[in-house]
Parts: sequence; C-alpha cells; structure tokens
Amino acid sequence: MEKKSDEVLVAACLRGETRAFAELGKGYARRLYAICLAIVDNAADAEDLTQETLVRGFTELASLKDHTRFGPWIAAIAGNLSRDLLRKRMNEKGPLAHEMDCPNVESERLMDLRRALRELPEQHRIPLLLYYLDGHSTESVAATLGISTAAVHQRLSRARRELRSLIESKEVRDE
Amino acid sequence: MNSSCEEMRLRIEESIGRPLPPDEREMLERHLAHCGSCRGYREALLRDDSLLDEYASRHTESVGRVEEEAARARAAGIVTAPRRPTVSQRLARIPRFARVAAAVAAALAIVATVDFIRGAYYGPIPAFAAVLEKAGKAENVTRRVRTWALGEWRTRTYVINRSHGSRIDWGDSVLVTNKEKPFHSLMLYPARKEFTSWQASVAGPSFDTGLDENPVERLATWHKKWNFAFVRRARYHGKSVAIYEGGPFPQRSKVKFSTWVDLHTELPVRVEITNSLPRYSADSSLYDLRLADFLPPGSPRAKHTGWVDFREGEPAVIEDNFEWNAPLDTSLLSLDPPPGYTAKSIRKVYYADFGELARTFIPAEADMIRAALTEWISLCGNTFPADLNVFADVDKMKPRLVAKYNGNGVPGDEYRAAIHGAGRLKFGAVAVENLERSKEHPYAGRRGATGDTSRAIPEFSYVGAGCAFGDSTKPIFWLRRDKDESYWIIYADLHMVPSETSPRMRQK
Repeated sequence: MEKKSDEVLVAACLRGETRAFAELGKGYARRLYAICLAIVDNAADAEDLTQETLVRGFTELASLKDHTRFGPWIAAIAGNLSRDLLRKRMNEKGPLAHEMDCPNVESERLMDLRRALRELPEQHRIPLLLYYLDGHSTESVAATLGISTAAVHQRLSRARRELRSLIESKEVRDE
Repeated sequence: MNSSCEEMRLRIEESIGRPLPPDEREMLERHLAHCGSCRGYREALLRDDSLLDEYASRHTESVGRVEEEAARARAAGIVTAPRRPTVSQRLARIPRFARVAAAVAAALAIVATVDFIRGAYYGPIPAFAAVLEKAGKAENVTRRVRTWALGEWRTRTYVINRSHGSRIDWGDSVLVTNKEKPFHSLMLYPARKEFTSWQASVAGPSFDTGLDENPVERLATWHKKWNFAFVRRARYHGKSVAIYEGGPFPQRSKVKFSTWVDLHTELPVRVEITNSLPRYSADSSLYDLRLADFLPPGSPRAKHTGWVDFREGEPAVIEDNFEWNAPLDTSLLSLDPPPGYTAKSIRKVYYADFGELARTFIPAEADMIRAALTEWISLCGNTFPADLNVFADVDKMKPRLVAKYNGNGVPGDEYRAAIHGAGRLKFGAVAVENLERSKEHPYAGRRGATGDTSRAIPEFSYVGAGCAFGDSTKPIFWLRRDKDESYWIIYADLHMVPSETSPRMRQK
C-alpha cells in the first residue's frame, strides 16, 4: 500500500499538485527527522536537516527513476545532508557539544543512553531510532531504508544487544 | 552462560517489541523460570526499551514541528516546484519491452514513410516507351554530360531544340548547328572571342550535325536494342524516380545503361553508362604505362596528382541536369557569330563530287603511320626506324615515353600526354599489322561475283629505314588501299600528300 501510495503521490507532485507535496512531506517528516537525529544527535539540527531534505528532495524529484523507491531515496538524501553537516561542524569547531543544545533536563540514565547511542554503529543506530520515533513499525523502517522486514528485525536485535553492552560497560566503569 | 542461554538471549532480543511464536515463547518462559541471568538480561532490555521510548517521547515536539513545517512547506514556498523530468528520464521510466516495441514500430514507420516518399505515392511505374513518347514531344532539352576519360571528368552542356538546332558547350569552345542550314556549323571560342565557320553543301565525313546527340533519339535507339526495364524506385534530388536499365550485354561486357525517370513528370532526369573498362585507368595497359611512373620517386600516391581514379562499377558517363521544355533563347542557336567575335577560319566546302571526296579522304592507316612516325622522331631523334614493327616494342618504347613526358609538371597531365603519345605509336603499329594481315589474306585481291572490293590487296611500302628527318623531297612511306584509290605519300619531313602515282613508278 505504502509503495503504491508513494508512487501515486510522487506522480502527483511531478504534476505540480500542491496537496501531494504536503501529504508526502508530512508522511516522511518524522522518519527523516529520526534519521537526521540518529546521525547528528541534535534536535535543532535534525529539524533543520529534515526541512532541507524535503526541499532538496522535491527539487530533485524529477531525477527519481523508480517512484516506488521514494522512501530509500529521500532517506539517502537525509543521511548525506546530515553527514555533510557533521563533517562541516567537525571542521569548523571540533566535535559537537551534544548535551548543550538539549533544553530538557535529562536523567542520568537518559544521558547514558545517548552516549551509548552515539557509540552505536550508524547502520544499527538509524533503524533503532526510526523504530522508536516512528511508532514501533518495522515495516515502516524497512520501507524507509529499502531493506526487508527480516533485516530490520535482525538489525534491531543487534542494536539492542550492543546498546545493552555499551550501557553495561558504563555502569561497570561507574561502579 | 551456556549455549542454551546464548540461544535464549537471541529470543529475548527478538521478543522486545514483538510477540514470539507460541512454541518459542513457551520455551523461553521455561528457560527464564530457572535462569536468573537471562531473566536479568530481559529486564535490562525492557528497561532500555522504555528508556528509548522516553528518549523518543522527548522529541515529540520536534517531530510535531517538522511535520507541521512539511505540511506548510508548499504554501510557504519552502519547497519549490520540482523540475519537469527530462525526455531521457521519461523514456527511462518506460519498461524495456515497451521501448523495444516502440523502436521497432518507429523503424517500420520510417521504412514505410521512406517507401511512400520514394514514389509509392505516384502509383504504377510508366512503361519506358511511354516515357520516350512524352520526352519526344519536348521542343527543348538541356542537359549536362560528364565523361570520365584519362583520369579526369570532362563536362559539356547540350542544348537541343527540335525545330532550330543544337548548341554544345565544352567550356572553352561552343559548337552551334542550325537546321536552317543543316551542313553548316559555327564553333565559338569565348575566351579568345574567335569563331570558325564550316559551311558545306552536303554532309562530309567529319561533319557532325549534332542530331545523334539528341537524348530522346539516343534513348529510343538503346531501348530498341536492349529493351530497358524498370528495376527499382529511388530518391533523387528530392524527386521520386524510377530507374530503368538495359544490359549488361554479352557483346559489350559489363556495359550497363541506366535511365532515371522522374515519376511526377515522367521524364528522364539522369542517364548513366557504366563500363568496367574505362579508357585508360591509373594503371594503363598501353605500353605498361602507370601513373606512378610520373610521380616523384619514392613519394606515396598523393592526392593532388591531377588524376581522378575511376572505380570499377561506377558510371563512366553521366548525363544529368535535364531540363525539358525550359524557355530557350533561339538566338543561341544562330549560325551568325556573336558581336565582337573575329573569324579564325571560314571553310566553305562543296562535297557534290564524291570522287573528289574519295581522293581527299586520307586512308586511316596512312594517317596513323604518319602520326606514329612523328611520335617516333620526337622520342628517338632524327632517324627513322629500321622497321615499322618497332612501334609495338614495349621494352624499347616505354622508357622513351616516360623520359619524354615525365617532367616537373602535374603528374596526371604528364601521364595523359604520355598515353596520347603511346596511343599514336600503338595505332601506327596496329595500322602496319592490319595492312600486313590483309595482304596475306587467302582471298585478298580476288573479286568475287558480287564485286566485293573489300578484300583488295593494299599496296604499301616503307623505305625510311635510317633516313634523316627533314627532307621534304624524299618519300619514306606510301600506301594505296585499292588500285582505284590515290596513293598517300609520306615524306621525310612527315608531310603527307595524295598522288596518282607511287614514288617508285615516278622513279621509273
């Protein structure tokens, strides 16, 4: 259904239908935000990157050959823009100060989680955050990343194990 | 942690967020009931799961904002309209089989269109006789004729008017004939503003009325002989044409005549004569002369040799630029020279007395032998040959021909001149051979009941061996084809005159 829906919406966008832009953008905004957040670990940057991804995506929409693969295509744009920003920031001011930009006071455990997430490989971190930020739907994660549901399950299992391992090692160090 | 725990922990990881199949769940529960370590692992994962949910919930606000922004993006002008896909991108979206099918259909359509344009529109092909009949009604015909000979294309233009006459333009000279005075002709030399006028009472042996240059009459003659037949349609200068061909003919090996007829007007637009044996190629069989003999030593075959190669199978004669019934200024066919032209010569000849005609007609053999002797003197110095058969000696004559004609000029021009010189020698040799053969013929000299004189014994003699060139009183060769004819005497200065008696008789 989703593939068909994306295909129809992309065709409508190419015809210049305004509502299709809104519908497609809204449908993917959350997922793109999750991808950007997984890479830059900064909410404000992730918001900006999501907008930039949508702008870039719609501008370049004509170059999309297979309309059924809009999800993986726009996810790749989000990933590339986020990595570009990360590289740019690294070159300009050194490593990002992740905690500084979070307005909420986070619990110790949550901070440990974020540190552990940062150490997680990107190929596990992105599906994990997509899963939790996009309503626990492995099908949605699979459609966004252009992989099978089984692959999503596998990556999530490994992500949880590695995450646990990282958190545990922190707990041991603290003790 | 044993291997069972390892396996169970995989199940525990899989069970977070999704239910396990009943048998696996039951197996896991049984394990957890007695394995505290695995129970602890599951609790820890569930805590992490909750923590991740909490982490996600902290971004609810941001997610809401980006979704809202995305929904407003178009209206706010943030998202620009996508570019229209390019043609190649649109084509790329079409499935491969559809593209192949479309390409095949397009190719078929092109073939059909080309076929249509090529003349299918004009329906049936007219019979060649009908074409000739229609062409024969044309009052004026203009055409260009190009002939390949001796490594160059020679061009002339014909203007024929059925009622008035003809005009043949070679570029440097123009021949005009007019039907009002059928045995007169006017030759113009535009560059020199000169003319020669030929004014005869009857047709002479070298007189050309130009009538045989009428393309319709020639085509009709060919068609009568070789029955031109339609072979194919073609496209020619934007016109749909039908091509008719006659030949090749066994008696004239590989010669092919082809006439192209415009299907719209049903009139000829092009005539080709194809001959695989054109006169003298770059490697002539005449005295084994080759264009390479006249190129600078060791140099590769250059482009600018003044020689155009003839490719076998191509037409050696091309007639085109036909104009049927185009307006014609009949003053072009006038035998009066144009204003400003001066007379180079005016020849008034009356050929009523055919005996005189016979006497003034130079036998071809005598003329050919004189031309060969002239060439010999220019090649070998001032002494006449010991034997006229030497004209045929390739080993002796070729180096002399190359030495004489090979200079610092244009190689093609030199080669052409050498072939002409070689031709004079060759025809002299042929003349001698013909005379000797006819003398030895078993029936020579006998006149049959029919009175056929064609086998008369020729009387000829060569006495020039070793003589020096230049003496106008010393005869070196004489010839009489038949005893009814005059003698033709060649003197040592190479002038030739007719005589009623042979030099030998006069000496007696």
